[in-house]
Amino acid sequence: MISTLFPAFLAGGVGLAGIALALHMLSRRPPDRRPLPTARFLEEEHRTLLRLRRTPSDIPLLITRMLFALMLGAAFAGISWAPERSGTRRFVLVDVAGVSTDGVDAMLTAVDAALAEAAADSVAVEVIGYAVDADGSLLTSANPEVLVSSAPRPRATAANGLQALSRAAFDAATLDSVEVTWIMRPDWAQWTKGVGLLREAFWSGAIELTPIWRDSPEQSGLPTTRIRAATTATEFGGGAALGRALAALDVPLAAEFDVDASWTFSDRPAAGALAGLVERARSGQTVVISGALPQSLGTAGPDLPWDASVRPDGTPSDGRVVLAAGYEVSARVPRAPGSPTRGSRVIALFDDLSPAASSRPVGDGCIVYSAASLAAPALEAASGFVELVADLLFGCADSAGDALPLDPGALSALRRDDLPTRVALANMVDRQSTGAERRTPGPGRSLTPLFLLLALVMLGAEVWLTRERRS
Amino acid sequence: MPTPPDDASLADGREADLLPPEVLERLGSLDLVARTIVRGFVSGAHRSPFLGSGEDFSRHRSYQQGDDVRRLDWRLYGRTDRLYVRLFEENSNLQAFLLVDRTASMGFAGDAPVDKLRYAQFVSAALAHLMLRGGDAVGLATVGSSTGFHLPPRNRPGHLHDLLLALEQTRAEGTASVARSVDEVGAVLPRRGRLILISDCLDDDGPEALLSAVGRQRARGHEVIVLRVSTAVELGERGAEAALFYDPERPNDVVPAALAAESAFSRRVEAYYESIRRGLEERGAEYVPLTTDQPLVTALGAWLVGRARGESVVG
Repeated sequence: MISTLFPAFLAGGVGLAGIALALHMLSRRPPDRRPLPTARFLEEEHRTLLRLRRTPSDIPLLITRMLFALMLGAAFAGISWAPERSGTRRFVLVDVAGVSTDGVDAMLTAVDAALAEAAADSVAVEVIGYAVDADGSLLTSANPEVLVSSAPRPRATAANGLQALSRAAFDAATLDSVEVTWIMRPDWAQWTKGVGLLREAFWSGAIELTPIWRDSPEQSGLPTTRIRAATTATEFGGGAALGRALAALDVPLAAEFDVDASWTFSDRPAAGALAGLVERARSGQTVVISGALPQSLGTAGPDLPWDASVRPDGTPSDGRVVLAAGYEVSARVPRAPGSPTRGSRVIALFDDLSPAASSRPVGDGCIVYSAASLAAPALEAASGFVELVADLLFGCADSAGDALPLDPGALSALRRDDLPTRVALANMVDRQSTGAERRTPGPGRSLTPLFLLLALVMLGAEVWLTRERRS
Repeated sequence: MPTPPDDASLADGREADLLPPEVLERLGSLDLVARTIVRGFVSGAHRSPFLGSGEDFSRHRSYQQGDDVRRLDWRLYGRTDRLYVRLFEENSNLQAFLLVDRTASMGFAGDAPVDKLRYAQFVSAALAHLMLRGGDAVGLATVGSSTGFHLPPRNRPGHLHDLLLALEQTRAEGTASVARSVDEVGAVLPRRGRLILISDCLDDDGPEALLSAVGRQRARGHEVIVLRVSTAVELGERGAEAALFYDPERPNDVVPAALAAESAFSRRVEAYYESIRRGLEERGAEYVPLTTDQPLVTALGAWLVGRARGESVVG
C-alpha cells in the first residue's frame, strides 16, 4: 500500500517532466557532422534534413531529464510504502490497575463477556492485562487476574494501556483493522490522549470502552432539563455575541436575571457567585459556566463538571472548539485550565483532542461548563459559535457529546449513569477530519531516500550524456 | 581475421610491426615479376635491355676512370697493351617509387580499426620489403600539398629501415592533386621503372586527370600500379545514421543524408571506381582495389599470386 503525504509535489514533478518534454520538442540541436571522403556522391535528402533536427541521441537525454523531474517530485511528495494489511484481530485490553480486590469479579465478568462476544463474532481475540508497578514500570499479562494486587499501586494511564497493547500487538501493522475492547477505569485526571494515540497506532478499526468501577455501580436517574420558559438571563458583561447566537436559536435573551429562565449563562464567575449558580441548577435550570474558574470553588466544587486544579502538562493556552466530525468553531479562543470531573459528560473537545466542555446533572437541573470563554471577542465573528451555544444549551441531554468526532465511545463511557454500558464505536473517523490535521508520515517505509538516490543517478546520467556538448 | 597492426614507432626497432611475421612469411614465397623491360641490376627475374655486370659476356670497352678494376681484361691487355673492361648481359634492378597519398581523405577510418593512410603504410611497407628482397631499388614519395620526395630509389643495407621510418612519419592532411604527383614522380624515375600509387583515388581534379597522368607515365615506359584503398562505409557497403556529411578535404560542403547499404549512393561510388578501373586498364596500368577491412596478407597475397600467373586485378 502506497501513501503520499504531499501529492502536490508529485504533480509538480509531472509538470516539470512535461516542461522538459516541451523544451525537447521545441529545441533544435545542431545535427551531427561527420566526415565522409565520398560525400561528393551523396545527394541531399530533404527528409533527412528534417529528421536530423532531432537526433536519436537526444531521446535518452530527454528520458533522463523527465525521470529526474519525476524522481525529484516523488522524493518531496513523501511517498511511503506499507505492506498490504489484511485480517482483523480483537484485543481485550484490561486496566488492572484500576481494579481493587472488590472489583475483580466485575473485571472478570467484563472480560468473559468480551471473549464470548468475540467467539460469537468468530474473531480472533487476545487478552492483555496491564498495570503499573510501584516503581512505575509497566506490567502486562495475558491473564489479568494475576496482576491484581491488594497493595497500593500507581494508577495506570491510557498511555500505559497503549504501551501494553503495542508490546503484545507489534505485528498489528499487517492487520487491516484492529478492534479494542478496553476494560478500564475512566479517570479524567489521567487523561493523556491515550485513546488518540491508540488511534494513530491503529489507523482503522473500532474501540469499545468498557468502564468498570471500584465500587458497585450506582444507579442514578438521568437528570432532565426542564424548559420552563423561553427566557434566559445572562450575567455576561456585554455578551452581544451570545445574544446574537441565542437569537439565531430562537431563544429570547432576558435583559435581567430571571429565576424562571431555562438557562443561565455565566462567564468567569466570581467565587461568591458559584454557590448561587449551583442552586439555580438544582432548582431545574441549565447553568452554563464558561471561562476560568476561581481558585476557590467553595461548596460548589463537588457539583461542578470541571476540576480547574487539574492541569495536564503541555496544555496549550488557546484552542479551537470541536463539536462534531469536521465541525469546529473557526476562532481560536483562550482556554481555561483543568479537565472534566469524574462522572461528568464531555460534550465538546479542543482541536488537540482534550476536553473543552463537560456537563453534569445537578439536582433537577444541569451545570454545563465550557473551558472556552463565551465572552472571547474572537467568537463574535467565528463560524460555529451558534452551534457551540446550542450544544451547551442542551449539554445534559442524552445525546450530548455523541456527535464528537473522537472517541465518542470513550467519552460516553465516562457517563457515570451509563453502567455498565459498552458503547461500540463503529468506524473511527479519519483523523484528518479533526481540527488539527497532522502532517505525520503514515505507517510503513518512507521511499523518499530511494527517490532522492534515483534523482541523483538521473542527474549524473544527464551530465554524462551532455559531456560532448560542453567539451 | 587478421587485422593490420596498430601504430608503432620505428625508432626503437619496431618496424617489424609494420611487417607482421605472417605477412613476411607469405610474401617471402612470392616474387614481383616486372611486366615491362627496365634498366637496373638484378640476378634472376627481370630482363633488361641494358648491359651491366651480369654473367653473360657481351663486349669490351675502353677503360674509363671509375670503372671497376675487377672488370679489366688482363689477357687483352697482355696482347694489346691497352686497358679494356668487359661488359656483360645483365638483368638490371628495377627502380620503383612508392607514391603514398597522404591527403586529408586518407585519414578517414569509417568503422575499420585503422584509417586508410595507415593501411596504405602497411601496404607500402610490404611492397617495399618484397621489392628490396627481389633486388629492386625502392624510393618513397607522398602526395601532399607538394609532392614529398622522402627517399630516392635505392637498395642497400638500412634502406628498408629508412623507408619504413619515413612511412611512419607521414600524416594525413590537406588536399592535393594526385595526378600532379604522379607526373612529378614519373619525371624523377630516370629509366623505365615502376610507379606504385597507393591512394583512395578521390582527386579533386577528377578521374580524368589521374588517368591522363597515368597515361603519360605509361608512355614513358613506366609500369604503373594503382592500389586503391577505401573503407566499406565510403563504398556504401555499410549503412550509417543520418547526419551532415562532408568531405574532409572540403569541410564546408555538407550534405544531409543517411547512408543505407546498397543504395544509389553505393552504386554511384561503384560506378566512379569502375570508370577508373577501365581507364587504367585501357592505359595498361594495373588496378588493385583494397578495403581497409581486408586482411593485408590475404589482399596482397591474392593480388601477387594472380600477378605471377598473369592475372591483373584482385577483386
